[in-house]
Amino acid sequence: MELSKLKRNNLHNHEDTGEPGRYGRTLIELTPGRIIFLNEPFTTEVASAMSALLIYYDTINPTADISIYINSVGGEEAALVHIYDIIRMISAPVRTVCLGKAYSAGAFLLAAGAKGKRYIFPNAKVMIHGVQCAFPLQGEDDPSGAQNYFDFLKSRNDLILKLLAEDTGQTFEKVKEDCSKDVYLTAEDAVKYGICDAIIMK
Amino acid sequence: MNTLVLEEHGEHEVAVNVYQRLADNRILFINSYIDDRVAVDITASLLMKDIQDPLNKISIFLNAYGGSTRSVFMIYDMMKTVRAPVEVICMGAALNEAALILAAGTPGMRYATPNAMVCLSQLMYGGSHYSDLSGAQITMEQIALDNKKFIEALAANINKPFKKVMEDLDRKKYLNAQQTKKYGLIDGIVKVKKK
Repeated sequence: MELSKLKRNNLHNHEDTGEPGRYGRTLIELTPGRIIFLNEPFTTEVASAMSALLIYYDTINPTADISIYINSVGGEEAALVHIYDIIRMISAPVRTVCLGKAYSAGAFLLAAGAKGKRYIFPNAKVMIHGVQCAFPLQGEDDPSGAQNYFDFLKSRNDLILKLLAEDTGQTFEKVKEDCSKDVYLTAEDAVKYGICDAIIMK
Repeated sequence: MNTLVLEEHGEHEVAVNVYQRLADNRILFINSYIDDRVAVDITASLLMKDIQDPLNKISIFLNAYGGSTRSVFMIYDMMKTVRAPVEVICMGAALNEAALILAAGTPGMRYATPNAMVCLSQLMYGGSHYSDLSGAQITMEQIALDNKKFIEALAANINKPFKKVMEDLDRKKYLNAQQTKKYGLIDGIVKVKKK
């Protein structure tokens, strides 16, 4: 695995902006290893770039693994569902690895990796919760329009919770109840919950 | 997110943009708000790929949260002009104006991924305008005209009468992949592997 390479180059990016840090070139050097780094909030723009990369690696070699390294505070539900579909559309298996943190949408992405290929580092942290929204609802100026949008949000919430239930092997009801608040999980808890399969040990 | 990838060309390693690299394989990406900058990229690529090989299909992977009216019509017109069949795959979302791009794919080649969402609405107008009243009158007429053209184009591509579509879009219409197929915007849902 490319981990030795990672260590040697001491890779780190600016945490919140996703700007390449002092070792920005290293990210490009990792690309032949089919590694994608999610080191920023998981927005729709990021999902777009990630989908292009996934499809690119799939066209080059549809049988080898693609790895997504996650260190993210989470992001948008639309981005999550987008990548979820792409992961299942391409034929290359997708390995997910959590280093640092995988909160909210990041945790859902971690769980969306291929069964048996979802890893977490021993001191990483995971947090899951349902869809968050802010009032006033964006772009809606009358109550029935807002209600229309709110119903839509609820259906999307159910959708991602259903996907998480499928990925983790928990029941939908349990996932829905857990996700009504923020739930923080250590690496061991995350494996127990079914979000990932194994802790990376030396 | 980094979109440069390293490729070996003979002895050299070259960093290429992943979008450019996929465009070489006739795969185009629309994945942001569709403004003029996106539109000119896509129209130029469509034209180029059509000149290179008018028989092979061109794929557009669509994930857009709206767009400006003129830019969307620019892509729409070019899609309808090229000889090569244009396949459109909606992944993620196609909202408001961007839904027209999805509907405009070659019939039988319009797809969506199973959890994609589509939002149909009449044209959005978010600009600010400063002029005298007759100028405002002209602007409003132009917006109404654009809206009519937009709905007409949409209706033509989903084989529904103009009036029906206009009524349906009185309020924003959120559709999942199944509903989108039922409404006639797409012809099929992409098959995905089971987990």
